[in-house]
Amino acid sequence: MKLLRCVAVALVLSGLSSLAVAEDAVAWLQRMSQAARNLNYSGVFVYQSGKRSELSRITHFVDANGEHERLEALDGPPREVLRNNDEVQCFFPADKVMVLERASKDRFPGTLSGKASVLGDYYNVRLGPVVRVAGRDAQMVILEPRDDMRYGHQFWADLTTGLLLKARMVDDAGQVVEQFSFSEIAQGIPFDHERIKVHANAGADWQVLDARGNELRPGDLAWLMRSLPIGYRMVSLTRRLLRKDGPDTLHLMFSDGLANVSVFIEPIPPGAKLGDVGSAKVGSTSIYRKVVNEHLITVLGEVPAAAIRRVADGVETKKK
Amino acid sequence: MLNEQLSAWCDGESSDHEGASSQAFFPGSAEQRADCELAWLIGDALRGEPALSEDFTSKVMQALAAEPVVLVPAAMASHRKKVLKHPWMAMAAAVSGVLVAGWMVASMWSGGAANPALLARAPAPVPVVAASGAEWVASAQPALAPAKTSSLAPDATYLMAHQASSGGAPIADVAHFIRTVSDDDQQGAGR
Repeated sequence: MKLLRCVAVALVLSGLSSLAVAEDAVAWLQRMSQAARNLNYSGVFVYQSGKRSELSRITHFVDANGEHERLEALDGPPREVLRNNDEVQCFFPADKVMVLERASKDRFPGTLSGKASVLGDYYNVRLGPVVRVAGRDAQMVILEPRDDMRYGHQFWADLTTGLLLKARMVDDAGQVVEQFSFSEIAQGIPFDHERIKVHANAGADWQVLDARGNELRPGDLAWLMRSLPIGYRMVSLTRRLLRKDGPDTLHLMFSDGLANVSVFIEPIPPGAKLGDVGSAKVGSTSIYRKVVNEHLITVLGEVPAAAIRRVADGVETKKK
Repeated sequence: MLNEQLSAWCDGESSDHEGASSQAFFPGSAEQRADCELAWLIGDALRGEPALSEDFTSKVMQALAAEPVVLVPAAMASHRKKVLKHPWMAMAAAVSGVLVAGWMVASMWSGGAANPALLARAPAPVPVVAASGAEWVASAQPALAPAKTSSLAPDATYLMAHQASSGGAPIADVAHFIRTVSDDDQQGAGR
């Protein structure tokens, strides 16, 4: 009897200990997110996906007007992305094209609505070791998926500031799907308007494309998603014009708090016949296309192809 | 029947015997054999198998360049029929474009090259009017330019919208866009 009590106490303590570790890990995730929004920093990072790798510089400042970010590609043709709060401008000087987008307001951990621990339902969240990244001591946080409907994640956060220094997405075999990693970074730098100014010399001969959409209410949706993987919920619903004079396209975004899946629904123009174009993979993004009731359905996201396929299989029109 | 056998042979679906007889049918058809080799390479690439040779891109681009550019949907019927024999082929070409030559967003909206294989299965090309009033049609170019693949336009549109709405990972918001604006041209050249 005494032995049983000891075992029970040990189990409870062990459970509490695991819970505490998971809470610590989730707290680190929240800290990372807050640091990414609240700190001034500038650094060079490497993006890797498959055999590709690319160097970019990112600068982030915060002032009384909010957040300002600039992303600049250092390899290949010059490209820039600027963000002022939720307004995003993408510049492609070689082609004299500027694209306007709207950034998600529902940023991590906002997507979790104050319940960051909900991640634990879909991921085994734990702390890893402290290691050196970009010359800084960094706390590793590991998220192992509990099913095959999402990739695993590994984050390394600056031990002092909490800023994310390295992020890695891995598949179920442990292979790296993609990785962001700072090679150098300066934190706590003073606001410098010059560093977030667009370098592209956009003139009257540039093409400007407004790709921002209008938000819709879920009740307006005439479509059903019958087979969403567990944990994914709709975080945005917008109507977009993907091509000027093209049909209105519905854009549904689903998230489990980390992984994101987009569903695009657009009517097929009269006279255009489509076959079932099936699946593809673009870098870390899985894509699946199908036709439902004369609408082209495009499902994509940085999740395993099986998850994309499951979402696509469940897209149906509501019965009137 | 012949085409079906060749198709099955290319797809690796024919039995040894059938495969052997298909080969017997084309003892001197190096062109068709090359087509099938290309098909296998694309299939490997789609499956993520590391079989990309250094001349893979040029093979794909040469194959695409050899295709006629069809811009009128009604005129695509016969071409579509041919392309759909290997529906994965068009997709593979698209993916290879992404891997090797796809600065996707810029390609998409720059009015660059058109991939007839994808045009055959995509909605009719729609003119894109910029705020400045200038107009261009993404597919209305007379020839293929291997360095750019505007046939990827639809995917790039979706990818950019997706990245803009992604709020998941605790990483700087614009960093997500690196997935969309990543330049593969440089990497492809080194492959």
